[in-house]
Amino acid sequence: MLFHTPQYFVFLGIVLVLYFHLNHRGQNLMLLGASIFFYSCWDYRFVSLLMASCVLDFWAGRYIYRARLAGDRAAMKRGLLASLTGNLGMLAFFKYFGFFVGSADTALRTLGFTPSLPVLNIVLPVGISFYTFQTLSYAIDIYRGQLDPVDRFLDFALFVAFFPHMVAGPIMRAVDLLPQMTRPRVVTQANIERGLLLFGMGLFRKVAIADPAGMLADTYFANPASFSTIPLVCGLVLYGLQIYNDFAGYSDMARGAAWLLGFDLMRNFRHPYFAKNIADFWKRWHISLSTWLRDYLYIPLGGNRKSATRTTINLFLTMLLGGLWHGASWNFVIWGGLHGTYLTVYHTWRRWRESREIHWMPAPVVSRVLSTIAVYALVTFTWLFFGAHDTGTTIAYLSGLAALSPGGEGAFLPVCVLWGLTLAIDLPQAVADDELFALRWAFVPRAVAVAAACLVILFSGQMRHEPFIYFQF
Amino acid sequence: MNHSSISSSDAAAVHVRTRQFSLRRVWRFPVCVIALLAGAELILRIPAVRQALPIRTHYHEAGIVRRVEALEQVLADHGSIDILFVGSSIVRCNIQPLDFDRAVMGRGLREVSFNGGLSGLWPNAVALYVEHLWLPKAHPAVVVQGIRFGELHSSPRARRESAILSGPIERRWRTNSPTRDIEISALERIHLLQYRGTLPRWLASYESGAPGESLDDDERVATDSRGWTARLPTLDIVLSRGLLHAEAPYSAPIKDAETEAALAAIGRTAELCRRAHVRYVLVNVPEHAFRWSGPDGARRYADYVDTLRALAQSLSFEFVDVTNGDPRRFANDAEYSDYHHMSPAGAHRFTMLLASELGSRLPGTLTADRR
Repeated sequence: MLFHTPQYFVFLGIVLVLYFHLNHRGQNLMLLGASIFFYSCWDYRFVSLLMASCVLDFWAGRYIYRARLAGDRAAMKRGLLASLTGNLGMLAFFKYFGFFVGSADTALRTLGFTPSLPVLNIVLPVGISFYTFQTLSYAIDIYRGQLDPVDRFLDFALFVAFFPHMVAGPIMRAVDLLPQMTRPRVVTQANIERGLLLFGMGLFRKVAIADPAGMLADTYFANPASFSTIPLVCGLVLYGLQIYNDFAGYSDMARGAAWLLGFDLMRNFRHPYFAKNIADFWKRWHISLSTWLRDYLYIPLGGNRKSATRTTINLFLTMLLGGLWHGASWNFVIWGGLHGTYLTVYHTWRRWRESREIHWMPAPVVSRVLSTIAVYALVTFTWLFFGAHDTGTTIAYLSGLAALSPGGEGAFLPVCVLWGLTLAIDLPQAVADDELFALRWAFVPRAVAVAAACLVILFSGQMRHEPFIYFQF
Repeated sequence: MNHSSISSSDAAAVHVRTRQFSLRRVWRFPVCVIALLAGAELILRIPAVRQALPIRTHYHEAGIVRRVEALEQVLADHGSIDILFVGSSIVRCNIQPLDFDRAVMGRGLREVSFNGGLSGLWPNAVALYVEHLWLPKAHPAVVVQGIRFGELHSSPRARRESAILSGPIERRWRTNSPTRDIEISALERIHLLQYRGTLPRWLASYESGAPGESLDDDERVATDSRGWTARLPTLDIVLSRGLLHAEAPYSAPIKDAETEAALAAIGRTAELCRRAHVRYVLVNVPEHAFRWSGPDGARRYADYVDTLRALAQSLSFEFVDVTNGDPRRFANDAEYSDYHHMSPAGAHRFTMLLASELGSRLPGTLTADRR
């Protein structure tokens, strides 16, 4: 059940009607039931896995908390280890087993061995990377003493399985979302206006921008050898627009649906293509994942508290694992590695500039525009490794780009149209520094904008409903 | 330290402070948006606006819209249609209904024929259109389907056929959804819905850098009141311009899985007509003899015609072949525009031969008494 299908609209409508007729406990119970139903629409077999993850961390949280109160560090570690082993074990088995076995098999064959490694065709449970990280953060926060465990399993299960964000985030911290589960919520008209606006903007991003961009980008990635350089460059830009608007659209729709129910989920994107440097990009892109990796991986590794070399290694390792989090493929590892390299180069350069006390910069506006373009070009190029599903396609695409063959200038037209639609949302958001900028508008301009958006959605609507890209992670 | 102090033990006792969404306070906004969309709907109904925008759906291509309008006019003028020609663009260009009517009138028969040939309609799509458009709208006495060998095989046009079959209206024709009729009715009446998906299709035409050529050549050519579309220039001129040199004689197998599927689709059309008590005739529309000039071409052509004849016999419908098994009867470059679409001269000759064959084979149907 995708967020932009009529089935979901009916589902959400029923949930809202029931929600407004129940008390707090009834609401949580109904939301958990609806979330399990929503998840079982993908694959009912994995509901048990989801619940197993909930049971494990609910138990681990209480165990660690009791040990914390008793001052038993060893028991706290045992509890945390149980959570880490269970969650990461599930993730490793379902997501990475085939990848590592396949890679080991290839490596051994290259060395002349003929191994008979077990090959399992394992189906990846949808959303496993997201809810696993979420439950892990719960256990770790209790271990760190930053959070007390929740009393009721129902509240905890709803925190993990809450349908708007279960499948593809935002990856919420227990400290932010659990209080919203356990306390009665107030749904105001402002909540509903915010929710509808966010949901509508998400729908616009998905249907009017991401799906058409994806349809075009697929053509270039399917057969890069048959296009000249300019269409291939356009293909990369289109893929960048697709992945951004697809994921940001999903996040906005998730947050919009949550607002309608009185929940506040964290913002996941802050117009990342306007970033002024690569570090800034990662503060704007998939914020819930990048902050998770920062808090639970980069900082525990030592962060920037140790030597410059150690900081570089920590950064690189974090980005490499961030890449691997997206999927079990060498392309994702390369993508993460490249971003790790960019960040390393950027921080090294920044440190060098600061140590030499070099303060010269071009005029602020020029500097800002140039750096934004440079970061955008770098990020867009790196999407190649994310979008190409195999090494052969990557090499063919790179060859096509390097060939600098002439022709195909008209391919810029779809890029301009779809970038224009992206700017129609991002630019006012950035200028007003308010993602809900349209709520400040007067009645008539707002109605005209909504009607225009409806028209564009209608004109862009495909006959088939494309799934969100991040659902596969 | 960021303690969340999470405990729901006392929360359950607290009354829920959920406030209902107040429709009364916000009704003006959706009404205003709907009014603006209604305004857009009205603007889309202006012909000049429609002309400037991309084609809405395959069902709304000029080729279909003009034929349906012409059909309605013929029905208004004459009361009914006697003979309906269906098929692809070879039917659209190669059969002249007005010439046909005049020719059979010379035999003492008075009837009204109409050309329902549509560009890109391979046998599968023809069956769909006969079932959902032509039979319900035209109620003809006879359906004459034109076919050529190329249409028994997939081709570069196959992509277009899949686009036709997955079109918003055609897709619904093929389903048994309980809301199907309502959806089709809404699509036929509301222009805003018809434009769904036009933006990505338009953008996709620029994927290689230049806008793709419109497949709807009815935008550029004239169609007469009975649905016939003239095709020019003639093949000799086309060849003198250095075009069509990549064309080659047929080499595809006469019978394989693809042809079986196409023959099955023809059988479906025949069965649809039988169920509607409409006589069905299959016509071999002759292509230029060049198509059969390859090795063993004459024998292969005979096998092809025999295949169609065998199908007609097995399903008990009429089959007409004006070439009498000899492809060389149609070898004049001036009678063709390419190797399968005829020029007006070729269409006139073929139509005369067809009228002669049909006039003698179906005397019971082609009478003015039916009206």
